Amino acid sequence: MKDRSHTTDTILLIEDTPSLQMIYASALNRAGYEVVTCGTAAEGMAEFRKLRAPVVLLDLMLPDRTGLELMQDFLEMEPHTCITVITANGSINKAVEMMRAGAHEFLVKPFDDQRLLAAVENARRSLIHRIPTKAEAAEAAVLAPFIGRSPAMHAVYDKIRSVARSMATVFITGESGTGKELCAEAVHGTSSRARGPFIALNCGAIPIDLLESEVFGHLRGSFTGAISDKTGAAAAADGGTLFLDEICEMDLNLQTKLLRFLQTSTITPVGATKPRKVNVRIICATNRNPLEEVRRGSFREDLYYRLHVVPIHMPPLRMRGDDVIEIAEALVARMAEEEGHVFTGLDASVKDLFRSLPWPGNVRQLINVLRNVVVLNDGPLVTSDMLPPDLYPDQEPERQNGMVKAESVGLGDLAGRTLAQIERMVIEETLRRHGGSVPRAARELDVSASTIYRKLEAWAKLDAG
Amino acid sequence: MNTNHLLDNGTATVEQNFDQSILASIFSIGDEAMQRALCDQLLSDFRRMAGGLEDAEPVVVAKIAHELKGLASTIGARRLADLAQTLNKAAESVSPSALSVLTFPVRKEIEGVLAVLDTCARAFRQQ
Repeated sequence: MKDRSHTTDTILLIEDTPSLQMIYASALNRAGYEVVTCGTAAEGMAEFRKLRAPVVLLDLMLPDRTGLELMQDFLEMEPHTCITVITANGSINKAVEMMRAGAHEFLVKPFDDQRLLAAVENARRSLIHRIPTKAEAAEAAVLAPFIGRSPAMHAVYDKIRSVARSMATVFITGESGTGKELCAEAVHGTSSRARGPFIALNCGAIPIDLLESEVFGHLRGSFTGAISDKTGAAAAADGGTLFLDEICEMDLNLQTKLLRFLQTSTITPVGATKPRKVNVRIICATNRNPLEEVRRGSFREDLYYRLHVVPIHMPPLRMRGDDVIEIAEALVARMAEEEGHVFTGLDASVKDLFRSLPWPGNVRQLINVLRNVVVLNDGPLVTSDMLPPDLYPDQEPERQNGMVKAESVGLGDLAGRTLAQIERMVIEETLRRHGGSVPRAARELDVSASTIYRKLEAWAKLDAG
Repeated sequence: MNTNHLLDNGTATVEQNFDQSILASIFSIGDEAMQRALCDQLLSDFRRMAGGLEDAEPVVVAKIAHELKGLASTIGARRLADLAQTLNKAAESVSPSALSVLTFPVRKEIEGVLAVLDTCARAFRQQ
């Protein structure tokens, strides 16, 4: 008996003459193949979208479209599909045209069941023995939309792929700016829930008294200002994924409700009396050490164990080797296009510097640095003199600019300033004292680093006009 | 001697022009249920095609002839396949009146194939 376990056995057969469909399908069924049959190009396309069958038997003449057009669409969607064209005697020229357009083989009617099976076996063999090109192999290993081939990121890709089929809760940790939300999106995108919603909620960015309503929703009139019913993030994510970023910032009372939600898969909006069942996969993330937060008593231990099922740690940029160069080059190309400037890459000294920097703000910091470079300069190469001075680790605080203008800001004279201006002054002063380190400034100000990065981004846009 | 199949009434019988061992080997692929279903489907398809050849537009005749060519050759109905191929080539280049003359022997040949299939269908029903 032939072992066919190594590839899918489903064959898509598109043939418009019902008797021939039956004959071919019977021969294939008898040989152990599963066959899905279609009589028109439209049906064939619908089935191909569903099945992505690696082997397709395609009649050249279909009532609604030519086999050539249909084949081209299949190959555009799945370039490695093995398509065997079935043609009647007298249409050989067209069959040759199909071969040139990417068909694997053609069968001329009449053919017996042995010839049919041999063609299918050939197609399957070619799929098994197809050697991926270097580029394909590299691309396959990298999980879009991530950039980077470092061993640390390969471990992340492998973990994301391995949890794709599971419903397990994923707990993503990592420094600010390492791509935790991107990781959550990738887990969702590779899962069977990919067609469902992906709802992200930043627990650190929402005032504590509004967070419950944001997560579970509320009914009209349930509290002052609740002028209409509101669907919470948990209900909005029904059938998909709910991503709770900065989970450690969540209030302890709400943690209790989240735990109940995880245990019962039900939500009770604020003001409602009856719980509602929802089907949601939870992914959460934090830039803190969650176990440390448990020890400090700011994070419930039972919730921690409920959430910490599959941990994924996003490596800091400084641990990702040459990924920093690959990411920087991709970013520069994208930003240059957006800004209408011409940049072709980084010069050698910038590459060396980027490899050696600690990147405390990780990819988000890299983005900010490169945005600054691309906005203020024109290429073709990013050179050291284009980089913001505060990027250099050994720089004296007095020589740094960016967030502060050289001198320390006196905080005593705040009269006449808006609250937003004062907030900016405080953050910039704190950053200056920490040599531009966002994580350190964030710790001192007791906010998340991502909050500061978001504000810096907004101010940069504001300053750029 | 006229070598044009479409104008050749011929004396050859359906049995001589229809290799029924091929049909038999196709039926042998499946079980009895499949044999009955396939036989019924073949009857239905050939009847549909015969009907479609009556008073049809040249482009429709060409399409039916193309389909007929593939199906007839698959089940061993060689003469029908040859006639269908000739009709397929000629359909779009002759006048409508000439077309009805050309389709006549094809329809007649289909009748012979249908008779064979009817016999098979009866036999399957008796099993």
